[in-house]
Amino acid sequence: MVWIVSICVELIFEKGNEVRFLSHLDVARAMERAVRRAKLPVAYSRGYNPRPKLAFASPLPLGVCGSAERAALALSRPMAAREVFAALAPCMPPGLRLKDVVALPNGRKPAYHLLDRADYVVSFPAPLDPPLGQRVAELLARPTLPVARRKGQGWKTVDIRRYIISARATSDTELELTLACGPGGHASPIEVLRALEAYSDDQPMPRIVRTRLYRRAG
Amino acid sequence: MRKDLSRVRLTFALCFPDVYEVGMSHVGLRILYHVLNSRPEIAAERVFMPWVDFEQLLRKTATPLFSLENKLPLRSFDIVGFSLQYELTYTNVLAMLELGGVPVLAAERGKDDPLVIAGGPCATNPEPLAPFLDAVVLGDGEEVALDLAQATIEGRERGLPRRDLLRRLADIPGVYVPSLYRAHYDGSRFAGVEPLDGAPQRVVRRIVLDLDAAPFPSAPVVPFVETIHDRVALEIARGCTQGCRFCHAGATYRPVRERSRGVLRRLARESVDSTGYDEISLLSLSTTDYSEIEALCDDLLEEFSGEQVSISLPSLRVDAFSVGLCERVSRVRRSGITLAAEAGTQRLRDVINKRVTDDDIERAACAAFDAGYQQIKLYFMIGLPTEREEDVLGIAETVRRIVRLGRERGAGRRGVIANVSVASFVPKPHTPFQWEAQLPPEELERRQRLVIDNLRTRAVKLSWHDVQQSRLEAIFARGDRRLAQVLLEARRLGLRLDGWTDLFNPGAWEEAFARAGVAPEEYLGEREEDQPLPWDHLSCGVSKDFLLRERRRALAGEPTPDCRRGPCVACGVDCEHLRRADL
Repeated sequence: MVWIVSICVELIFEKGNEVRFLSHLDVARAMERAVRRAKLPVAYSRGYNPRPKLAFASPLPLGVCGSAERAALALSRPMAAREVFAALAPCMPPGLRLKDVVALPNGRKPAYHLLDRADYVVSFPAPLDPPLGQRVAELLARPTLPVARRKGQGWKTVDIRRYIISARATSDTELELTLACGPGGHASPIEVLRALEAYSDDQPMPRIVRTRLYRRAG
Repeated sequence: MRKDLSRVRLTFALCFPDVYEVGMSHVGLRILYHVLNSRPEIAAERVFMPWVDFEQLLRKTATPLFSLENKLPLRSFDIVGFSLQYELTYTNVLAMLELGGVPVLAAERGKDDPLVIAGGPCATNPEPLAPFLDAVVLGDGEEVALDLAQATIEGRERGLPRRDLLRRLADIPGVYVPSLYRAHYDGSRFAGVEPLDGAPQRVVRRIVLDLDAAPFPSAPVVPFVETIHDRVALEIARGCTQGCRFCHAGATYRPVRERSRGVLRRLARESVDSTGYDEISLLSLSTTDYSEIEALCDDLLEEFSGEQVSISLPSLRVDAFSVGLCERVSRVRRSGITLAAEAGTQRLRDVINKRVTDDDIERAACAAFDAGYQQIKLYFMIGLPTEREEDVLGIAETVRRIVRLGRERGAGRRGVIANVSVASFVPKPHTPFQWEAQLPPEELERRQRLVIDNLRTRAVKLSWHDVQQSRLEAIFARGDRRLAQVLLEARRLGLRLDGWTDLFNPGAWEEAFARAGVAPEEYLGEREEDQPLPWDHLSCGVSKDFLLRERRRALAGEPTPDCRRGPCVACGVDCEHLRRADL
């Protein structure tokens, strides 16, 4: 997508529990429609199929909620962040709630490619056996953690141990994770939960919420 | 829309017997959802056919199939209504009733069970489903759905026994109650139906004459997941008088009724504002036949200039004018161009009354290529009445000619120029071809291969319908009540979602016919003109005389002009009278 002269604002939104199984593309399409309903002066991509210029910081995996997701919206003329919020918030579809709109320095597109880690909070409906704390300790003690990922037609093995920046059981039903994300390599919270043997078709599904995205220091 | 169910007098399940992505694309469902929910005393909720994995989960967890809005089990609704769009969804109707905890046979439903009703194109011959349906609606649903709902509310609140309520429903124009008619057979031949209990001899289709006054949903539910038709669908007209002799819709939606430009512009504005969609599709059976189509397109282009909203015109007539119009509205986004030539020779097009010439086809194609389209879509049918070898070869020849024209104009670069879809003819009730045979599947396949073998070029991408699916479609389209037993056996064999080629199981269907003791071939042959037809007591407006006349003209290779551009063809739909009566 070519970014011509336009003014960006950042949308902070929530992807709620009831829409956790929406794919990233579904979320993107729903947000585009909301932006159109709000009649904002959005900038459109050029070409065969013009679409509102809306760039998401980082796609969420299927089944994962987000409490402070970020997306950059390009406007064709300057508009105060609070005005964007007032127009857009009532047009958001159920499950996707606009929390804030933030003005960006010089209206420049945020450097989402520099995001490199994210916080997650995982809540289990009931305490696990063996307990969560013990599982986490054992996991962190392992030097490598190979997982299989789809690649094209086949599979490849990735060691995600180095992408687990921190993992901490805050109670017997709650887990806090900080995982690497972005182009430098990433681990999905679901991969980590599978490694903890805490996520499968036979278990009640924990609620996973991404709470924050961080940018590389410096 | 989620209503408080303790505050309504009637719950109405709008069931679409296919998956969500298909059902949510259907405009009829949106209209009825809107019409019924506009009434504060009615809650209409959507129910779709679950896909295989969800069906398994429902069974595993013993959860009855439920509505999307209030998660109400199907069996708890007052009325359960099915939209019958396609014969291969009939097993889904049964599967949904089973999963929803509703007794499948109407005769086994009691006081607290819902009324199970159906409507839609296939309801014009609902006989294969007769034992499963309490009532069937013929024609436009906007008014009759409310009539039915009102009668049911009154009947329920007065504690009317089920049978009495059904008898009452049968007095509503356009409502057919199958249990009030007994079918007779003479040996293995259908011999007519007999009305019981003073039920009307003939049930006549309901027609909404004034589309401007008819409610249209300009704030439909916008699905999160991508549906088949993910856009604003604006119905600009209903009915078509082109008179293609194979076409069920053309014969059963007469007369032509149009929404006026002003209303359409307002509805388009409201729809885009409320949904955020960036595409409007102008729906009708033949979009370019709308009397002010150019002015309408200009209106919409003006209304949405600068908003990146595109306009698409499906169901184009095959001519250069239509292609030109398509090009004119494609300022924002270009949609594909589809030309339905249907047959490969002039002789056969005269038989089916598809009044386009080779010249029309070529000019339309050239107009598309000149406008820069790299590829176009072409629709043909094989197995049409009187079809000969040269007609089949004519399809390949027509396509090759178009490919040549495209090449000369630099289309397709080195890839595909023509996407060709070849369907098999299915004789449909209420059409001039309702008496015709369907060719055996082996012969249909041979003719498909003939097209394939003569179109071996990289510039053509061919697709065709599964002949076994077309065969089943033909059996049920002209079926009678004896086929209900086949549907029950098919369900016992676990069949459903038969319209999905990867789940379709022709072997198991053969088994279902064998177990039911029904010979499928009996439904596929030519019918005699004086033989009673299972849908004779259901009238869509066109007279049997007209259909017979059209059949004879077809076999004589004589086309019949469109009555909007020529003299009245006396089809039996008294459109002048209807219009006068409406004033």
